Amino acid sequence: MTDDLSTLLHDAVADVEPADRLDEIRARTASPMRSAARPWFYAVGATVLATAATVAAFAVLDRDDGGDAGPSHHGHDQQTQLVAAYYVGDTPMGPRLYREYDEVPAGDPLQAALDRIEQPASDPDYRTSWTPDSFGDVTVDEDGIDVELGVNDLSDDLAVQQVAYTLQAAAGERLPVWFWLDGQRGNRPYDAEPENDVLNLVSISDPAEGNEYEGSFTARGRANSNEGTVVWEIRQGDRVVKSSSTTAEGSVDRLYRWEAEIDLTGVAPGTYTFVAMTDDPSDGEGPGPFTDTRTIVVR
Amino acid sequence: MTVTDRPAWTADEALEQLYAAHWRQLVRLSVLLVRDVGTAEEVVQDAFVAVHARWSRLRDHDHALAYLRQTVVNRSRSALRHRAVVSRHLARESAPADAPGADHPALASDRRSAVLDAMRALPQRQREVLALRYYLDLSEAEIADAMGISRGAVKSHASRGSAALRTLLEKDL
Repeated sequence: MTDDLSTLLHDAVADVEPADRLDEIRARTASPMRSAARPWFYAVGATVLATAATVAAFAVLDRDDGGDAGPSHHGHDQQTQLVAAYYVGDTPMGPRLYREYDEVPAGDPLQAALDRIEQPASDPDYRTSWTPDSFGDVTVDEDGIDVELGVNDLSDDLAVQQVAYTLQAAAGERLPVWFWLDGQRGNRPYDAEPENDVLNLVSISDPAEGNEYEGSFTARGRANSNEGTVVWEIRQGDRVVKSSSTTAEGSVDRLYRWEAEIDLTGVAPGTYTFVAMTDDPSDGEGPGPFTDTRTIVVR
Repeated sequence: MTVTDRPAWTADEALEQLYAAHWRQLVRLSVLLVRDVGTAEEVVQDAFVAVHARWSRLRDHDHALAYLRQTVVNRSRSALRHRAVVSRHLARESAPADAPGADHPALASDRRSAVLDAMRALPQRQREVLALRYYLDLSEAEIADAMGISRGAVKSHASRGSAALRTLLEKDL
């Protein structure tokens, strides 16, 4: 039977003489033509010229969200770029991923994002699952994102999701993530798992940690909250100085954008905590609200 | 130059060597999976472009060949999925295989078509395992790696697939 099958299959394609495509392959792999094979890669690279507008366009892969404007403006110039980095933090439903935007030196956006999550988060509430030298090179093309691992350990699901979310955000496309070790590709790719299972259900994109404001500011982020209600507060210690709520563009199946104009009239200069929360209609019965916080300075 | 004293290949050199050694065999592998020669050429061409982009990672011929096989299997699968969506309603009208060789003796070409048709009729995993095992002569472990499934699964796909293929061919021939 074995020999039969081998003979049958060899014979079935014995008359297939494929056309010579070496020239076509050479043309596609020649350096100047590389862009033809992966034009979007260069589109991502262009965000290094980070005006506020291009940052917004780059911002983050937000699954049909129509683009989630990241931080509005951080005064960065062409020597730096913003990356969306996902970190682990505690939530009422156990550890999940939080997102922060960080300003890093200009360069390949995927490598920059990966380098970023080898380092501690800017927000002291977050932590990373990865240590320096966890990763080698990262490259991307239409087959997916390839990451060289420095450590042979993918046992922590949330750590893997941290990489998948961060790299897909940097790529601006939901591509499979392949891990490589010692010159060999793992035998399956990883994708970002559903937001409701992995992400903290509210995130603040703006303000960034430590931003200074005078008069007013616009807060932005994403949330999946009951009826889209996102509650925000300005706190000093345990004292709530100001609070109100806004409505996200949607809810239930994933996180949606929210935005709020925060009037600082009557808020004395000083250091405060800006808090965004999901609405908790359970009155203490459920796991409690998800929160995200940023330190801000009012001048 | 011997293998031991040659300098490391550049990506371009590796591409040419891999192409010379494996282009035809990989296209034939893909034909066993997707049936259509034009589609198979596209699939394998894309796989070569992908392996070139990853040469600095792969670094050696064996890793590169394993990567090529895995990519050809994955991309053949995607090509079939795509084609199924695009032309499901045209399936019945599809022309016979467009493999060259129409001037071969009718009997041989009929048999070849029957084998390719039977392969296409198998469930995807069985088809892939049979092609890797009996056309490329890969071991169970190599197939498990290439497909991202366990060796036990390889074994069971292989035995069900060969039984199903034999039944299909007995009926047709």
